[in-house]
Amino acid sequence: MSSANARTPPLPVESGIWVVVFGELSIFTLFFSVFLYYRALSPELFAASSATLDQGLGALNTVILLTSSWFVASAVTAIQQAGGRERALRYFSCALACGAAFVLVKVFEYGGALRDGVNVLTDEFFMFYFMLTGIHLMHLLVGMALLGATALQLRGSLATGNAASNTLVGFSSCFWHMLDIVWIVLFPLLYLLQ
Amino acid sequence: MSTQDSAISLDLRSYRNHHIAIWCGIISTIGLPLGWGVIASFLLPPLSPSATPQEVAAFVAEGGVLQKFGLMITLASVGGLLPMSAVLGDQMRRMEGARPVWAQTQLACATLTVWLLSAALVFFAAATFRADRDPQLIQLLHDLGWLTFITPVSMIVLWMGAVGAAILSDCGEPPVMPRWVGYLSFWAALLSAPGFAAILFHSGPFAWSGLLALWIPLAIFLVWWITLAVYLLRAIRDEAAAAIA
Repeated sequence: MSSANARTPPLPVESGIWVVVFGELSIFTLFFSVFLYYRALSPELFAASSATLDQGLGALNTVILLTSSWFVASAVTAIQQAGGRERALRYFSCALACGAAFVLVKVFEYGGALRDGVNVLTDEFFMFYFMLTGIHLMHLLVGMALLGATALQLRGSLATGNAASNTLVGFSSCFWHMLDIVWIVLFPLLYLLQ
Repeated sequence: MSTQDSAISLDLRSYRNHHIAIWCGIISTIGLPLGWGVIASFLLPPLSPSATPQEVAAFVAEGGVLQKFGLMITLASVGGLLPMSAVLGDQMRRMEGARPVWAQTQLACATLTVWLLSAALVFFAAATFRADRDPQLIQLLHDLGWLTFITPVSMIVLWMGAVGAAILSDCGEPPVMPRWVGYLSFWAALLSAPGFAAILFHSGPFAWSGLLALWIPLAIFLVWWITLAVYLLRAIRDEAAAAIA
């Protein structure tokens, strides 16, 4: 693995992509700060409501996203190796499947909360829970669209034998890792913090 | 550069018109925060959705003529977004080539945004029009104004997304606008989306007076629009210089 990495130069990524990644991370940091500010105002309420969340489902989604990030990273490595584009396409498809699994778990989780009579207007904790995970989910759907577009472009270039540009690969993979990082902060903030 | 560009170059007369149109957009952008936000004091600070009818009625009664004047300035200046979006569409056509769709989407979204902003301002104006009417009714108009202003996000998201898509699809060398402006547009689109949630909340950061539904989307719109203005001015300057050379 490391010898393969040593032989392949890093994928050239457009500098403009960092506008999105840096911008998103700053805004999510702001979201987290606002959450912590409100949490500090009524810690008992936040702890009590947080305790009703299913930590198992949250942890499951964390594992799913980490796995998807591993697939994306493997795809980016594969795409730079001779004849690795078929493998990259398979990795991207696996990452997309992980994304779909994440959405399914989330929908199941939301459905359970709604059945328990809990919704976005229940209290301040659930306002943040639904809004922050909802915004993250919306970004994740955009990320899946980007991964899907990358996979389609890759499939097209395999069919025609033409070399595809790496712009979309760079953008979708950076965006996906960014989503993963955001979730890794979001998960302990909402599910674990007592 | 595609063949289309060299066929229709930007001569001095068109350059002047485009230049004026961009400045219409810049001046209009100042009109909204200044006229509506400061002079009409809708942002100093914004009334929370949880304000009582009496508080809203008092806000309108205290506003007086100055508040109406601020709304008038904004109503007059908001249309200035359109000439600049026409220049933006013209440059997007250069990015997209002979069959542009994002340029057309962009102009439609700009038109509808101006229409929605005007509608919101007219609701606010109606609230101030008879400050002595039933506070419940004043509150209703105030609600209508804010909800019209904050919640119809699909126009603004599509607008920003269309601009981003056109910039990133530009294959010209050099491109009409730097690619990071395209990424900025996508980021701005993602940030503007949560505004629709203002329908749900009477308080907190996602309510219409909150940080995440009002202040951040407003700030990001201004940053996006001024960035576009700067790079549009550069684009037409470069085009005119190429036409003279």
